[in-house]
Formats: sequence, structure tokens, C-alpha cells
Amino acid sequence: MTTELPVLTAKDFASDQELRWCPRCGDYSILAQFKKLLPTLGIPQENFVVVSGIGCSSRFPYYVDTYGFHSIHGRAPAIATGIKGVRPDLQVWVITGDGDGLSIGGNHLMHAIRRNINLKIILFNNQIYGLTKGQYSPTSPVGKRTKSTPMGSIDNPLSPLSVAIGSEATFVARSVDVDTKHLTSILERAAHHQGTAFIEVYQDCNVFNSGAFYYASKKGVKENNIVYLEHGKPLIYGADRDKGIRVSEGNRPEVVELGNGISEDDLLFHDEQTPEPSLAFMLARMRHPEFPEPLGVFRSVDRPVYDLALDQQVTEAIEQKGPGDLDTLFSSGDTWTVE
Amino acid sequence: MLCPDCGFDNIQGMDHCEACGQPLATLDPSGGELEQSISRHAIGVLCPKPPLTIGPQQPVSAAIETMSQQNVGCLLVVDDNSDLVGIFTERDVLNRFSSDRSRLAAPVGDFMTPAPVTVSQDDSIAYALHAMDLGGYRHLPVVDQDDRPTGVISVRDILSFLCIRFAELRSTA
Repeated sequence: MTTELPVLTAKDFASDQELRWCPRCGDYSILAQFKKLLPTLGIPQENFVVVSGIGCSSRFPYYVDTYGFHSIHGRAPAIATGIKGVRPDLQVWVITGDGDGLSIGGNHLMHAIRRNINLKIILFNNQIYGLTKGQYSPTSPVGKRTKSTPMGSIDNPLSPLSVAIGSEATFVARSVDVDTKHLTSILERAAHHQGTAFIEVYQDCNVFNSGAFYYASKKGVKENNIVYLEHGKPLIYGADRDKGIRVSEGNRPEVVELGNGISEDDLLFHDEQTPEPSLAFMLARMRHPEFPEPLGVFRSVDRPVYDLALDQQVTEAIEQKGPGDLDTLFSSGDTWTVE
Repeated sequence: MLCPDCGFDNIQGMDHCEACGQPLATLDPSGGELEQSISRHAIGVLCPKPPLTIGPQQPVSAAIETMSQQNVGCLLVVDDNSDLVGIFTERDVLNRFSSDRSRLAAPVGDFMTPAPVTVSQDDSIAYALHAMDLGGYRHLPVVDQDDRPTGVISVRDILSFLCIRFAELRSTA
């Protein structure tokens, strides 16, 4: 006998909690797209878990009607790993920010990614610590003046995507909070990926770091500052779609204008499925204003998934040795008494 | 976020007071209506005054005369392309010329604050307040998407906005 899943809508995933973000915060948009996506995935509502750390974005689990943890600073990937370890059938989303995920929790993030645990990680990047009122974060640009860098930051910022690709992520993508159609498509791709899916979302903090991503979000401006990645297609951008990215000598990206002997065939064609991460890494290093910044899926490859492998090992161990008993294991020797 | 019971200053977003454990979730971290309104409203509602500008090669004496005649606290310094290159404020006058008036013939560009912090019409009033607090500014140039100056807002404009909003909220309470 099969049980049909009830038809759910975004409203079913709205919790009864009052939203406590600042007016006009980009978090609202991300939350809205997230709630729209979940009912389309064909997964029972009780099989979703949303885990967060600390920060403005980390209030996310309160606002979706799923199971969830508002956990400790930077440790959301570790807690989510535990959940997937014992319940690989659940779909687990990790919500983090540039401070939570890359500073306090950088270590946990890196290890979750390199294990390729089946987690969907959304990193809200607003280049600032918003909850604590405007200190610089690991992604704040050099020269950024904040409460904690009154003379301008002298730290070289981290690129979240470079960290993910360097940790051998199998799915890496970027979108923008207010680009709702694009964001939804990226979230959907991540939801269906087997393994760790890492998504960076550009997001303006309209109180402490307003306009940080205007170049990538404002109509009339963004067209010349971003390039959408599409698998198998050339990298073309510009308001008149007259510019592109070519790979020059030394495997360096180069901005070129189409025409005058340069055709689409001369441009870089995106391949998100290539096993070698060099292309994705090169794209992740393209920064405004020298280059248009890529949005879309940088990398999507297959690799054994940690939680499935773990589950298989446990199943095999039970088949070979029986279900086991914790008390028996504990008293099996190799223990000592502290006096 | 101050605990209403013990007064401990918790970080924003805490659900329980770190000192006494009292629940804080019912407190609104983004403040009341007045505080929310400065996040919700963009700088455009302040109707930024058209900028009064001066070239960097103009003498300081001309800048002071214009500021005095027009009763403004600052001039935006723009180059021949109308690009913003600096801001010259009454603070610059007080700090640099009150004791030595012999330099009044020197060009404005030598004494302006170069590359000033700017805001756009779409930024929130809360962000403008934050930028003023961070840099200790009383004036902020408003620029368009090409970074050309379109106006100036002062802390006085924000004060007026808050006074009006406060009166509105009191009258509807």
C-alpha cells in the first residue's frame, strides 16, 4: 500500500514565529524562496531539518515549519553531520553567514564539505557582522571601515567559493538574495544534489553594509557586472550581451568584446561537470570590478556520499556482528577507573 | 538588547538573558516603530537638498563665502566631469583657518576631505545614521549609480524625520 503525500504549499512551511529581521533585510527574500521550494521536492514535511549557527541569518530555523536547531556559533555543520549520520533519509539544510561559517565555524564548514556529507549549505554573505552591529567579517573587503576597523580593514578577505572548492566541494553555486528566480533555481539544484551542496548568496545588510552588492543586484547596473553560468554555454554578459570571457595565455580569464574577429566560439564555455576543479576555482576568483562576477552553478560532480557510506558500514557491521549493545561495549575492557 | 529584568546588555537575537535567564524572545530586537521606520524608509524620503558644489581649484575664501551666503554646512567638491572628489565642511573651516586666515586664498582641494563616504537614495536612513556615527560626519553626499552627486543630507534632516515620525506615532498611540 502506498501513502500519497499531502499537497503542501509555501504557507505550510511558514512557522507561527514573528520575524525579527530588520525591515528590507535580504533574509526575507531568501526565506520566501526557500519556503516556496520545500513543498515542490516531494519530501514529507517531517523529513526536513534546518540547522543554523549564530547570526542574523541563523534565526532561519524559527521561521520555517520543519524540525530544526538554532545551534551554537559556527557549529551548524557539525550538528547537521550528526543528524545525517544517524538519519541519512532526512534532508538537512545548514544556514550560516560569512562570520558564522567562515570565521568561528570555518573549520567545521571545511570538514563537512570535504567529507561530502549530503548537506545543503546556504551561506548568506553580507560582508559584515550585522547582529552585533557592524564589525568587519572574513569577507569584508580590504579598506572597509567598520566599528572594529575604524581605519579600514587590512585583512585579505576570504572567498567563500574558493574555500568550498579548495575543500573539494561537489556542488558549488552563487546567487543573489533579490534575484528570486535565479535563487530559486539554484536552491532547487542544490536540493537534488547528492553530496554537500554549497551555495553563497550575496545579501545586503541595509543597516550596516548597505549597497555592498548593488553592482550585482541593481537593474541597469548588474548587467555589466555579472555573468550567468550555464553548463555548456559560453560566458557572455553585458547589457547588450556584447562582452565575454576568454581564457588567455597562462590560463587567465580575460574580458573581451564580441566582434572585430572575436566570436562566441573564442569564449570560455562553462563545464560544471569537469572533475578537475581548476575551472571552478578560476571563476570563483573573478571579482568585481576587474571582472564580471559569475552567478550560477560553478561545479556539480559526483563523488561517494559520506552519510550513505557510513550507513552502509553500519549495516554491514550489524549483519556481521549483530546489532551490538552499548553496555557490553562499554564493559568489554580497555577501560580504566580514575581514582 | 537590555534585559528588562536585570538590565544586562545581551547581544542582539539572544532568546534568554545571559545573566539571569529571563526569556527575551518576546522583545523586538529591531526596536519599536520608530526604530523600524529608519530601516524601512530610504534616504529619498528626506528629500536631499540639491548639492552646492565648488571646484577643487577655487580659493577657500570663495567656499566660505558661498557657505555663509547659502547658509549650508558643506560644499561638495567636484572636478570638471562633475565627479565627486571631496567634501569641504564648516568643520574644515573651524579646524584649519580660524587661527590662520592668511591661507584663505589657497585652493579648496588642499583642505577638503577627499573621497568622502557617500550614500544612495535607496539606502536606508538607518544606514546613513550608521555611516555618520562611524565616521563622525554631519553631512553625507547622496550620489547616483554613476557616483555623481545628486544631493546632500545632514544629521539635521534625520533629526527632523525622527521628530515627525515620533509625533505621528504619539498621535496614533
